Amino acid sequence: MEITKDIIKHTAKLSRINFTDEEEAALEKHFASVLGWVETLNEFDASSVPATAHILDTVNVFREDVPGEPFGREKLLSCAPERDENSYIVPKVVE
Amino acid sequence: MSMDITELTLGGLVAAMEAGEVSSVEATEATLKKIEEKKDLGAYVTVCGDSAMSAAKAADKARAEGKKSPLLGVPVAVKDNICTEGIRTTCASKFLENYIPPYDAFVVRKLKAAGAVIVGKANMDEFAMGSGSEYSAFFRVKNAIDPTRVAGGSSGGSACAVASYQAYASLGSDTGGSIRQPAAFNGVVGLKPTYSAVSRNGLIAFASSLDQIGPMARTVADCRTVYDVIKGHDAGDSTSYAGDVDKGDTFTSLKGRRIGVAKEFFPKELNGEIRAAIDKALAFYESEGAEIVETSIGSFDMALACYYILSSAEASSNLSRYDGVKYGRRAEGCVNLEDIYYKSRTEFFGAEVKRRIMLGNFVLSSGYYDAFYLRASKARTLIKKDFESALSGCDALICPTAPTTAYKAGMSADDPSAAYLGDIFTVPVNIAGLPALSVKCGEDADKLPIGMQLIGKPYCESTLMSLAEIYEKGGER
Amino acid sequence: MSGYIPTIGLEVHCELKTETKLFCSCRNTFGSEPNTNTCPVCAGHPGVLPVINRKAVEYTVKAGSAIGCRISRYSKWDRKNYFYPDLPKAWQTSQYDLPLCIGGEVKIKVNGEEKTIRLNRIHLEEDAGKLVHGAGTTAVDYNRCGVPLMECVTEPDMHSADEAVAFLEELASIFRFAGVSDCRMQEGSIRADVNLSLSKPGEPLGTRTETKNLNSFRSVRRAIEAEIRRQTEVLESGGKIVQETRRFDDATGEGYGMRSKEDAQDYRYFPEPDLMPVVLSDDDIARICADLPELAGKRRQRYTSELGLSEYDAEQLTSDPALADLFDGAVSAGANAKKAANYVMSEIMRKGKTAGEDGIVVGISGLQLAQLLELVDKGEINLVTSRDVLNKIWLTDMSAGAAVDALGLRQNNDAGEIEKLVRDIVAANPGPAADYRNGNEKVLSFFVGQLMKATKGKTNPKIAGDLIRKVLSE
Repeated sequence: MEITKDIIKHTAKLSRINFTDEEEAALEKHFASVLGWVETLNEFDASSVPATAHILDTVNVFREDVPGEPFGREKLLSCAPERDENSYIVPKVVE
Repeated sequence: MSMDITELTLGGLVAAMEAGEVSSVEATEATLKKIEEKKDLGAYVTVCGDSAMSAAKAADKARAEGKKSPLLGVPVAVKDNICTEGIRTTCASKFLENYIPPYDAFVVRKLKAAGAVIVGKANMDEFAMGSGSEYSAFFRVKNAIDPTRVAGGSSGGSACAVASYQAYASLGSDTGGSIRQPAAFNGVVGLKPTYSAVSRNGLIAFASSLDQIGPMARTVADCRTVYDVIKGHDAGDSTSYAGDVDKGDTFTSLKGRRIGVAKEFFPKELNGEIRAAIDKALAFYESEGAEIVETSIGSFDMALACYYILSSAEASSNLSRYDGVKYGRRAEGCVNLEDIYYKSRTEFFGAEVKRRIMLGNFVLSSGYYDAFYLRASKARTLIKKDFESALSGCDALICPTAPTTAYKAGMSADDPSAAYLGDIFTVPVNIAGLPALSVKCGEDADKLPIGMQLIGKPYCESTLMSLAEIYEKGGER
Repeated sequence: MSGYIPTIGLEVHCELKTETKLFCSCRNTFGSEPNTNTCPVCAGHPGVLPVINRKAVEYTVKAGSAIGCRISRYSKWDRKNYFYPDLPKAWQTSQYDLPLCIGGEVKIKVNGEEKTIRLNRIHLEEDAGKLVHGAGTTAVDYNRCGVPLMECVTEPDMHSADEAVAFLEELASIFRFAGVSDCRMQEGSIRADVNLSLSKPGEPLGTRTETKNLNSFRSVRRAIEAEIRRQTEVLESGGKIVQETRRFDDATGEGYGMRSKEDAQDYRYFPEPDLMPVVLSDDDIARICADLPELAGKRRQRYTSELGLSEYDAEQLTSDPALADLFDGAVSAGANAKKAANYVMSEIMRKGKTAGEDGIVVGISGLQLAQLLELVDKGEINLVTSRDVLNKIWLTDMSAGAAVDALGLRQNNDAGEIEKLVRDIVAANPGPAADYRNGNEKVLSFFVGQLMKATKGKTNPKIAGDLIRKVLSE
């Protein structure tokens, strides 16, 4: 398939990253060569093969519904770039 | 002691400490001094001298009180993508330059409980994406044998630290070869355990279905000591194996052992020196009584595409949390929310990380999912099956760890996709979730180490370590 | 209404009443100080991993069974990726193609007509945090992040606001009876998104809009009515409906389109690598559903057909599972159904309503209620003094009889003794006595009042009435 500038621009939006024109051009090239290898994946009949999401066949890993000790708000909030005494702060969000 | 105690093996240091010849304080001081001397190699992002010295003192005290534990007082390095409470954990990224985790990773808790002294956080490729440790946002890691060359990656700092006596052992992480390849490039031992054998709790995720933490050390025995400490079930990781993680054997004789050689791992264009080294190693195993069997991984060619699609897809999601809101850095001068996202992610992610995020978001995006992500997930099924059947007839597969020895720094800058080809022998193992170990099996004409990879059955790490240890004792290095 | 028929589908989010969150052991409680119920997992810190709350899975299975869903023998988890400050990991862990429950239906009654609303699925997912908008900034509170949420998706089977609200009320009732969710609108524990389109009879469905995050039945009704009006106006004036996500402003009663994103949302769903699938056997499902109680609909039916209650009474009694349980308990402890129903619907409902809450607190057991009603029946106490007894036994395990004794409320049923008192009172009030004898029946209540006053209400009112009449007629 052909990797177009539009694909790169759309993907950049999904990624929330800005790229310069040169960076976009380099990405086009990079995509094309990596996705070129995908040809190797077209050599089998996919319809008869199930997908593997997990390498393990473990199922039903649960924890019991028992509260733990409170972690401590300050330990988490102290990592934030912007905060007030009890919350994370961002510029006003407009829906 | 007159000799340089940093050059003791981990086992040697423990024996010396137990004999009262050396204290942990002395070993830690010597290690910190060595780290200062070898600063140029760039093995560490953060050195934690103060906390290391207090841990060393505590270890000496505990030993004096009769406490015994496998890593008591041993200076070790931890890759900087493994969370350490109160110690900066950056993933070698500007984004997390100021991130101090509020919790310890499971393996760090295990290390501490075993008495280990964490001397620092090892440098790496940013978010573990890379094969040269040149993509650290701070400074590159140099190869311990030839500093003009790369250390390998992404656990380059962990490998270099061990190879240059800046730690007795280290933890790395391996998503597509990131323990084994730098181990090979620096001539040390690196073990990527079976997926699920070591908890990922606290390992900053790159590709969750492929990531594993593993030990790196100068000898197989040292590797085993560290592995025995960190392995095992963790109820806090849903993918952690609750069964017996010791399904392998421990042995000193090769009688009745079978070693598989899959022809796909020896392409015609393979570097001759590497091929010769592996052939010699195989001959050694045969001469010691092992049977060499030919086998095949028919889906080998699919592995690279499969790996880059799956790992990038998972990474794109895992790295979306870096958004300048909860932790880490936020770009200056943001006037609205989108600004925070775009400016922070554009400014604080390096080029390689951006490439992977982009690729991952593309293969998951509407209209392309089936052709890329889903197809790669199906290829994964085939690769897993092929390994199962190849390993059903032998104890381990042997192949090169990497298609080259350590290359000159700066080479991957021109064509980042060409660098991905260096992972060709390591990524299939992560796709199949198997254990694999890299051990030095010779040197090339430039005196650069060549790594041999042993791939085993699930939870048969001890089989791999026995095979490697037999080679280490009798084979050519 | 210009001949357009609205077609409505709902996506209903119900918070499960587990003790802890879906993937970490932080408390699932409403109204805590911001960010106090958070940990590295639900705050999305680097390196954290989720572990599924078993109870959340079991509750969802129960909820699905209660509405006749097919429970999946194999279900899995997926990541729904998008950036928003209330979503710390930047993905919501949800179930995309293999949800826990498939199908199911809910019967509703609107204007006397029965109707079946089909469900498409119920899946389990995590809630997001809360944004509190200030002057120039927004504060982010992650307390609600990771709270387990069932998303119930209906088929587009509803055609009016009445039907949608009836569906929501019935669904909430079922989940309350199943004991899996409080479905309290005020606390946002049940919320709905409304998909709505208009079409003329026989024509294909029109373009639909989605109005998101309606958190009261009243705003669901108003939002639907407003959106029907709006779409009708647009179509009538020759316009086209744009497929969009909308919000409803309760203050103005108007809906508005959300700032349209340049690209349609692309959530890039993929299997969650950090969570293993859920596999349930028939035995597992039977075990989980073993203690699933009889639901409101079944009970209503039983109340009317077996116990002879009116539809209205049955409706009232099943408005809250605690009331219905109390009623059933009293009846099985021997109480007369009609009398128990009346008492529950008057005294218990009055006392059980607590200020500012949707729910009802029931402070006595069925056995205590049966005892209380028996005492009233036997004339040991009367309905007025029964309130004192109720207060005494409320939230205790004291028997009604013990409370009557403790309060010294046992009624005087001794006719001889009462007659003596009556004669004294009549003698002391010759004027009213004369009025009665002249045909003024109303004076009777004056004498009853005097008697009760003299005995602090502890006289059997029936015996008293008879004796007063007898004495006055002499």
